[in-house]
Amino acid sequence: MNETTLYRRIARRETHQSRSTASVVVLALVSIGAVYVGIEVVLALLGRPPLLVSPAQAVVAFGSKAAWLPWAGLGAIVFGLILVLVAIVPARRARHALPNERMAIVVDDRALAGALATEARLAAGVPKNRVRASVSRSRGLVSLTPSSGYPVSQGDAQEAADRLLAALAVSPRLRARVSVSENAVVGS
Amino acid sequence: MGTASQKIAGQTSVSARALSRVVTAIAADELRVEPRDVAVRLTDDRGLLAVSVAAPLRLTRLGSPDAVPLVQRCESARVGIRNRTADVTGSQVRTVAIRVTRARILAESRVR
Repeated sequence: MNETTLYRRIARRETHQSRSTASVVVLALVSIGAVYVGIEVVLALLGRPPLLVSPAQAVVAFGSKAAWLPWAGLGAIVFGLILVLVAIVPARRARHALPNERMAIVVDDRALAGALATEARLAAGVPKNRVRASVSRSRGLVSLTPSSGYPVSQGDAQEAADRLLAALAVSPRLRARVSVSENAVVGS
Repeated sequence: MGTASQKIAGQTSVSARALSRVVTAIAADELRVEPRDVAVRLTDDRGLLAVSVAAPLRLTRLGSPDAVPLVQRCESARVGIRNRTADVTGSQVRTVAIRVTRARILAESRVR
């Protein structure tokens, strides 16, 4: 494996959550169940009394029309669906990868939001406490609240945010959207 | 207010209180009364400043040759407050409202 692929893979691992917890839990449950069934079978073969139910009793019970049986089935379906979801859902972390040839760089979305906020507010001339920014997978939202009497140029702020994102070129790709609130606040 | 063209780190911020004191001084000067008699309230009007002033007004003696109609005095004071606030603080004013609470009728020869 060459280094670029390795770094890409590391970046992917860092931007996505692993399923190890889910698989550990499921496998532990499965092995406990298998051990229990094994114990019951051995006890039945030796002619000893069962721990809970003997294999013969269990077979009869599953063939019966007991009231709890459909509910047990329903529980199994729900559990299975949850596992399928866990397997399919991308489980992304709030992070973006930066392109770099010599190492794998991963940045928290919060850090990206902070950088976007700073760029936008410096370009627009808005004080620090009047800027909000958030970064999701494909969108960086910046909202500015100007000071009364000092109109803010949405275009300048948007351009600064775009420039930053173009320079960073994070993946997955981010688009900035700067909004300037219509109402301002007196003083700064 | 730092702009993109001036690349100096840091920023200037003017508190609402400082701003309102400045506007109070300007309004007092325009209406020719003491600043302590002037009450100024600054609010936001769609991004620009809205100034509301409650103050007494100094009038020339009634019947004097250079007496100016009251409404005209207030209008010119409003324009003056708007322009001088913009000059001094650099902020844009959208509306100026003046409520005249009292009138002081005095000879202005001494003031002038």
